[in-house]
Amino acid sequence: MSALDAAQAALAAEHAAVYGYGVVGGRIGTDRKAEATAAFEAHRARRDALRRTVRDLGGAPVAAAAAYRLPFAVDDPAGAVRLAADLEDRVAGVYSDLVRAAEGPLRAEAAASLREAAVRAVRWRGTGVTFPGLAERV
Amino acid sequence: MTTTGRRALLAAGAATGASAVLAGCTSGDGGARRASAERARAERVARAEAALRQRSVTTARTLVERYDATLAAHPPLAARLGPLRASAAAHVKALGEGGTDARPAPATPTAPASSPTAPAVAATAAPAPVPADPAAALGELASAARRAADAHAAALLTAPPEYARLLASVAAAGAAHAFLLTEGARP
Repeated sequence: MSALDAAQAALAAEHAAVYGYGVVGGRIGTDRKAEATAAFEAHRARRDALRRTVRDLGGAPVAAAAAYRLPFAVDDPAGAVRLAADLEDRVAGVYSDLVRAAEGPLRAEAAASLREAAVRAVRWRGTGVTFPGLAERV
Repeated sequence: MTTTGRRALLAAGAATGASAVLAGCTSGDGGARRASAERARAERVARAEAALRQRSVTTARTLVERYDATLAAHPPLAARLGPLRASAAAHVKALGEGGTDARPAPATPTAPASSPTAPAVAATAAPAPVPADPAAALGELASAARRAADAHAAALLTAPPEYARLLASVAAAGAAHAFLLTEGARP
């Protein structure tokens, strides 16, 4: 996978995360609303940064899909927390691929994004995984 | 520089030039020389990678030792630390797969101290005593996890692609564990 392909995949995942956190925000309840808002904004910032990265690599940034299918029905705060953790897992997966495909500052950026996603995932879930972003090892 | 010294240098330069010309006359020898230079370069790269793997394993193992020291000083923390310690041990194993043996590494890196991770390894190599207060001990362990994560994050910048991906994951897990050790106190 080229750095451009990996960056496009990361951008697509961030589009999905931004959409997903919109759903999370609507169901999360008041006590964790601020956390959801902070995560939403963090993903929006990453999405915007990745758009620039894709352009810098000579690509045309992928657009967000018109709609996304949620991995499961989300109709209460507990479901919203589960979805948030799931979104972070997915994002971690694409960033680990970007680490592998990229070099220099982009690799460092991808590693930082993976780290942030892993920390947010444990905040939501309360437990960690041994190898965040590595589907083949978890 | 003395006149003798300069003359000696000139003579050496002339000799080198002559040998280069002679080498150029023999067809094939230049290619062999390039191949040998290429081989030397490949060996340097391989040595640097092996040293990086060794340092990463040492960093990860030092953190496991910190878990063990904390568990020894605070047995009631076993339930909370057990899963995290198991993850940390899995990191040591994964980082050592394919090329680095899992025996204790020397305290000092075998490669020249050009790596940005060397200070972090050195800083964690001499463990401080575990604080008597459990909360302080957890805080100290969280700092150790974060230090290890930072060292892995620095190492991945010069690592081969697949190993960089693994290091990024291990660093992310370490940062997440640091969170769980301090703020993330959930039953």
